[in-house]
Amino acid sequence: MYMGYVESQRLANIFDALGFDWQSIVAHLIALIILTVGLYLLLFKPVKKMIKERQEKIRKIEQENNDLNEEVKSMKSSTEVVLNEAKKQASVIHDNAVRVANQKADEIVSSARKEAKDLVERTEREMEEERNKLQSEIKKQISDVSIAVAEKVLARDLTPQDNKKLIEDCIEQWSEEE
Amino acid sequence: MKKAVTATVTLAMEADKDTLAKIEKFVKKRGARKITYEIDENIIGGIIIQIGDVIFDGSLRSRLDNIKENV
Amino acid sequence: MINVKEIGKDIRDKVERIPNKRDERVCGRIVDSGDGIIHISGIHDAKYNELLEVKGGYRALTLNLQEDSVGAVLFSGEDKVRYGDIVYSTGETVQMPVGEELIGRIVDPLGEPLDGLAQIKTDQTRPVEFPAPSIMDRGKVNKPLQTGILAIDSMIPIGRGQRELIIGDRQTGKTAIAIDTILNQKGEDVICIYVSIGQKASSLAKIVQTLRNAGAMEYTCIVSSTADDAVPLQYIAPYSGCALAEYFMYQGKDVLIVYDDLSKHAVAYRTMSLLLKRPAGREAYPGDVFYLHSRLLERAAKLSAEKGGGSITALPIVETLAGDISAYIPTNVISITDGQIYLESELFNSGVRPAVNVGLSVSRVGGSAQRAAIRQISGQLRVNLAQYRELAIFMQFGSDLDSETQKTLSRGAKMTDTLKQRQYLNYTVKEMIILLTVAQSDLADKIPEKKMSAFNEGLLDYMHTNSTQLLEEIDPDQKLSEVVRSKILSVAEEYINCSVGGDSGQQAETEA
Repeated sequence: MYMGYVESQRLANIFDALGFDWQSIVAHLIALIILTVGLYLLLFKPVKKMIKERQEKIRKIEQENNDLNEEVKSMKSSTEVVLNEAKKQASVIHDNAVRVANQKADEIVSSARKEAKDLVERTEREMEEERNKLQSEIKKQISDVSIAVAEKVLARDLTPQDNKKLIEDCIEQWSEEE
Repeated sequence: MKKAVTATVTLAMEADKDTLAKIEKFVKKRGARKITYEIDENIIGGIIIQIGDVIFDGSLRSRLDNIKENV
Repeated sequence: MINVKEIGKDIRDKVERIPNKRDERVCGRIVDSGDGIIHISGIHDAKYNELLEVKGGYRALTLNLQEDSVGAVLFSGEDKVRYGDIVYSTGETVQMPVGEELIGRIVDPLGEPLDGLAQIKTDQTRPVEFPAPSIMDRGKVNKPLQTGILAIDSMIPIGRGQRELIIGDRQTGKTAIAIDTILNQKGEDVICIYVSIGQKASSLAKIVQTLRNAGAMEYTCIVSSTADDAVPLQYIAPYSGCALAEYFMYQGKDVLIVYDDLSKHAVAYRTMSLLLKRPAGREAYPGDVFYLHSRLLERAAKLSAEKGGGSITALPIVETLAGDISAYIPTNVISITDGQIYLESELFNSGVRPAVNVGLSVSRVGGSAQRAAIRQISGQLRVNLAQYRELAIFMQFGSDLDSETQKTLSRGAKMTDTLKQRQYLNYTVKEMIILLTVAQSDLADKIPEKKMSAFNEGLLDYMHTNSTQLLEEIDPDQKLSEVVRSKILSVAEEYINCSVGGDSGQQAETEA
């Protein structure tokens, strides 16, 4: 103790000789220490905490980003699948409609053909009829003329004997019929 | 139904006595008692006898008409 | 071309072979002539309905037999006959030439051709008035006559040998139903006869055109007396048609005869009777106007197997005025026929075509004339439609409805839409089975209301192109099995998904 006190007196004398104010240096040191500790507690730790939190947040965002990307990729692929399905269905409907339309077209064509054939047949028949009618006309004309001639001849050339024979034949025939 | 009593006979020209007798016999057999004679050249030849509703048509005119219809 | 020598030879042959006509004939003379009626003095043994020949080639029908004169109606030449003309009796009643040669032809009631083709030469004639088959000769009606019209074949079925009256106002589609029925007999081995009484010549021309285009003239004969024909021709037209039908019936064939229409027939008979000075009765019709139609319609029957099993199905048409089915002629004919198809102009104007009033229409032969599958499916149809109609009246009040009622209403409306049918579009029995099955199942709820008709047509097309095998499997003479029924429903569902249901399908996806 006595030594210490002497040592420090000696230090103090050295410092006095150098012109330092050793009390204020000590006070400054102590202030520094307090400041450092204070800074460490008040500033350094929270800042470190904040930085750590920031880092966490960034990591989370990155993670979310990745997840979103994944989702978008999967949605895109499922949409494509649906689109393909729809295209397939549309082509089925299209084929069906084409098939039905073709069948209808065939039906229409065949019925039109049949109509045309019937028309031709009917016209042919009608022409045949015209010809027959003409033939009958001619026949009628000929027979009318012949009979008119026969009338005239008979009217003029019938003798009373012929007439008598006619009458008596008729009466005989009618009497028999009874 | 009254049975008709009058017969109408149509001739194309005058007939001789034999013919008339035959006609009368026939007509009497069919029940007529009176005979009326008509001359009509249009029948051309032969005889038409009408007794009541029944008509016996033996005229040439009707024969010719028959031919005309049936040809 | 035309061989004149042939003609000459022909004439000479004919002259040789001319039959000697009977010289002895019964005759009379005209003492009164006017309005187509002649009074004849003479011909004391004339029979009723006997055919008389007037000098000049005209024909007349005796209708009045009196002590000293005979009244007859002229079929033609009413302006040509004169006082004092000779009238010969033929000794027989009016005859109609009958035979296979008449099929495909248009004839008048005395057998003269009207279609411009050759004269008709037949071996046989039948009397126009003939007694109806006796009770012991008749058989039970058991075969259906398919009309191809869904509303009729499902709920008012017609059998072969039945008389079914088609009654309605003008322009309600009566003739259209008859023509559709005739068109549907293609391939069914049924001979059809269409008797046109007092119709316009233009309407008849249209009908002939339709039948020709559809190839129906191969099994149809038309007996026609248009409105400008003499009244006696209009009077005997239906009887002539019936004589022709009887020829085929007694050979064992099935015949369909349509009388279009009996109202004009009654009017023609009335004209004749009034001119013959017969006393007028209700509505100025003569007292025997019921007998006029009853003796005509009784000749349509189904014969028993011993008599050949043939049948005549009659579809008489009667026109009413302002829907009055209690007028004289309609009530007469309704009591004679085995049922009626009642067409209403309100239904027609509101778009329900065929405008059949299902509630008032009746077929007294009913189920025994239906094929088994259709009978099974249509069992509930009438009742359901009746319920729908009752509820539809309440719908107008706009009150809130519970879901059951709404379902009944929407199903009923869709069923009514299914029963609508275009003219000349006939359904086969299998198509009817499909349509009825789908419309009565739960699938009907998936189809939007206004699209039902388009759906039906599309469904049938789809089935014809894609499921021909299923169509083969459907057997109309058996009850519809569950297997076949579910197959039909699954095909219908496919079609719904790829056509009408496409809208509802898309909507479901966007919500997800």
